[in-house]
Amino acid sequence: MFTQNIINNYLQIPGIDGMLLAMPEIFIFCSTLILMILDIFFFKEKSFKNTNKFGIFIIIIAFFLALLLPSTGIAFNGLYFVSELSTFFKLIILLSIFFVFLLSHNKADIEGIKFSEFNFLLLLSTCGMLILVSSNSFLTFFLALELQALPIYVMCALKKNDIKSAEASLKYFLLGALSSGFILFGISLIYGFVGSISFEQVSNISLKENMGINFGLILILAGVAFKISSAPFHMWAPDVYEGTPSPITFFIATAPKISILGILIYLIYRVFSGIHDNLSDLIIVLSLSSMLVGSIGAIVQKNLKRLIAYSSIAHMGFILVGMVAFSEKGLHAIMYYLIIYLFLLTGVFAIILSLQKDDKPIELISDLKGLYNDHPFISICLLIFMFSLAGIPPLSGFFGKWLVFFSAIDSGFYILAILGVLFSVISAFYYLKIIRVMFFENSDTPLIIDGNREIRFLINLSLFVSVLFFALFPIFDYMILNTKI
Amino acid sequence: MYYSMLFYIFSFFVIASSIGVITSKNPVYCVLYLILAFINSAILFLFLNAEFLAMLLIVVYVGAVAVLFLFVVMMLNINIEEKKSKFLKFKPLSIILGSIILVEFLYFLIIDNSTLEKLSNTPNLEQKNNTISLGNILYTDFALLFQMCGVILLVAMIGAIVLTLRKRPGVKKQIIKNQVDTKKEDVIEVVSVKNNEGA
Amino acid sequence: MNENLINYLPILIFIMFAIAICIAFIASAFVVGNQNPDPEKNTPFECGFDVFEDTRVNFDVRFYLVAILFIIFDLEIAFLFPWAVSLGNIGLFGFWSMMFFLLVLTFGFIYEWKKGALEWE
Repeated sequence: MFTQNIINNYLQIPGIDGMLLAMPEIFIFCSTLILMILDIFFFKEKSFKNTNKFGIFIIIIAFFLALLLPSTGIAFNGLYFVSELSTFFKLIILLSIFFVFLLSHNKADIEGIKFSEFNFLLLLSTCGMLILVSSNSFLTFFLALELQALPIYVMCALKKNDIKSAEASLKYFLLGALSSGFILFGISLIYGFVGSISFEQVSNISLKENMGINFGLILILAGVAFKISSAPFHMWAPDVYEGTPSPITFFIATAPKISILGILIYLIYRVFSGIHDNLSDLIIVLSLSSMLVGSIGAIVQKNLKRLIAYSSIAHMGFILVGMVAFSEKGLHAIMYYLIIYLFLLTGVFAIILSLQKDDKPIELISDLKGLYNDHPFISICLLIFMFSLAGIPPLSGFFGKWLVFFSAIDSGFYILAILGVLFSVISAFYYLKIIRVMFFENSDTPLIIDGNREIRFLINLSLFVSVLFFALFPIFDYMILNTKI
Repeated sequence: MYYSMLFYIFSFFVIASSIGVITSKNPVYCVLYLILAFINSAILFLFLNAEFLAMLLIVVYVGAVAVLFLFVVMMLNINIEEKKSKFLKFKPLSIILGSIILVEFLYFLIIDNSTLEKLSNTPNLEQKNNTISLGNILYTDFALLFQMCGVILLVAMIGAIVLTLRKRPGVKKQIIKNQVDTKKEDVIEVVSVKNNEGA
Repeated sequence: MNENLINYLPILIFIMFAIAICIAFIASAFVVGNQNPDPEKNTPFECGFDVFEDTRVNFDVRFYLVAILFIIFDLEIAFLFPWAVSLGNIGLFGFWSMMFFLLVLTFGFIYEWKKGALEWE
């Protein structure tokens, strides 16, 4: 079972010095404030483009700040902590935000999101995510969760006068608010019984038999499952993915889920490690139902983004298998999986965004007809991404699934691993369906590629990572294997 | 004696007015019931000696949020009855789910409460002045959370502006800078009209 | 019984009197007044006619914008109150903490002003 040797103890850093730990967040926030003022006073015509460019710079600088500040510790009176694991999550979150900026750079017009506020909201939401993976108390956890979610609700509705976008935003907001309510209720139960909101004090108390705390934990887990769209709390995901403009769909599918998984790992592995036996049954249910719903539900979908929504539900199920394993291997498998998943989704969304039919972005799977005849290179890229998502051996997706199932077998969850492999075979069916449509069916109206420099770069980058993942393995190994929670 | 009697009276009002919120036909009445629920819960806060929170509830929720709700109700102008009939088909399911959770809670709170011991005590609220003790820790120990509240308010501001601010074309408005900048030559044309030739 | 709650006793008595007087007026009108119910009394009077449509008209979305901006500054003031009460205890750090909070919202205020969100077209 789970060994204690990856858990570190951290020093409390008092006062102003503690702020150094939060440099990336503070930097992003302060520069967003300045950017807002620059925007209203100086950027007249090219408001969106300029703020987008500045946003890219801010994210790059924050990335290096997070990378080059190697210190770990607890700051702000025990409310905030930085560990190697949280730094790892910060880096992937910043990477995915960087991809969102690149994807939206030239596509804001056609997607109807050409507001400079898009960039401000994206940056402020990033702030929330970075604080979320560093939170060391239930209050920080809750406030950071809200700070990351509120800008997303607004961004979903950015495409004004579009009824689907408004519907998506409203659904996301109502269900998100409901799940926040669950989490808050759970936190209040835990506070009532433990008498503290600090993660450390909760983890130091033996909680096993206390029903009040278990109730609180179940409520928190349900709320978190809502936010990562794991079945049976997945109902919002297909509608929201379908309704929102594509760059924002990509954003919803990656960064917030990564950050919430980051804090979920911390909660399971460290804060509630004493009652892991009670927890693991719940997570097995979440994981199995997500794999089932994701794999079966995607088969009947006609809309491309709905299909991606169901596939992301299934992938959440696979990631939760690593959470069930509750071992060092499981933790590392989740980290690999998140990197792989991020690059694959980047590739798929870059291709979706670059294709147009009748001057509109493509929506349906049948819009991909004849892609091979029109643009062989793009279609082969998409083929590789689909194979990789399905988990065909030499590609990156295979390694993710392999590591996750291997960690489950290692911890003795044989049936879960076998069912996982079964569902992953079922899910290969709908990925192959897309491939059949684009290779073997023809259409009259040609597909137009409107790829610019940024999108071509993203397609090539994710192609590189997915194909040559086994060659890049040592680099990721170096990043991941020494990480301590 | 009086204390607990008053407590139960006001708790009853909270529950009754909350039921009023979800059962009233007219949405405006719903909002008025909501205000009643807010005021009663403010009184319940007073019973816990949390004076500041009680006043906050009245100032922010009754004074501002309820008014916002009224605006929204007036803005949407939807026929609620028509929508409600669609919700009704999920009524049995929601009653079943709700009662399962209720039974679970009641079971552990009333019948089998041996596993519910408190692990440590929450601070005694009756001893302290609520406002001062909030102020003593909110701006120093919890400064991070306080600043995050500020950021969330900023997000709310940006969100409200980007979603609802629309510039209408063809609206005439007074631009003071242009008025002041106007030069005599631009607006006045001096024409010397000759005798008997004017129109 | 709680010491502090005694301060609120006048308010409770006031509320009770208000409720009692309301009930008294309605009840006395009910008891003393003549009551001859007639269906004609409920019909529109003389030249009146049934209404064509609901008297409620759609509000403009700008009311909503003003209301939400008001709430934000209302909350800002709510945060100022305990700060003012305990400023003596929290030292310089507490002071600058609030100054930064105000700065953030002032940036927001400049932003909304320049965007024209406070203008009424």
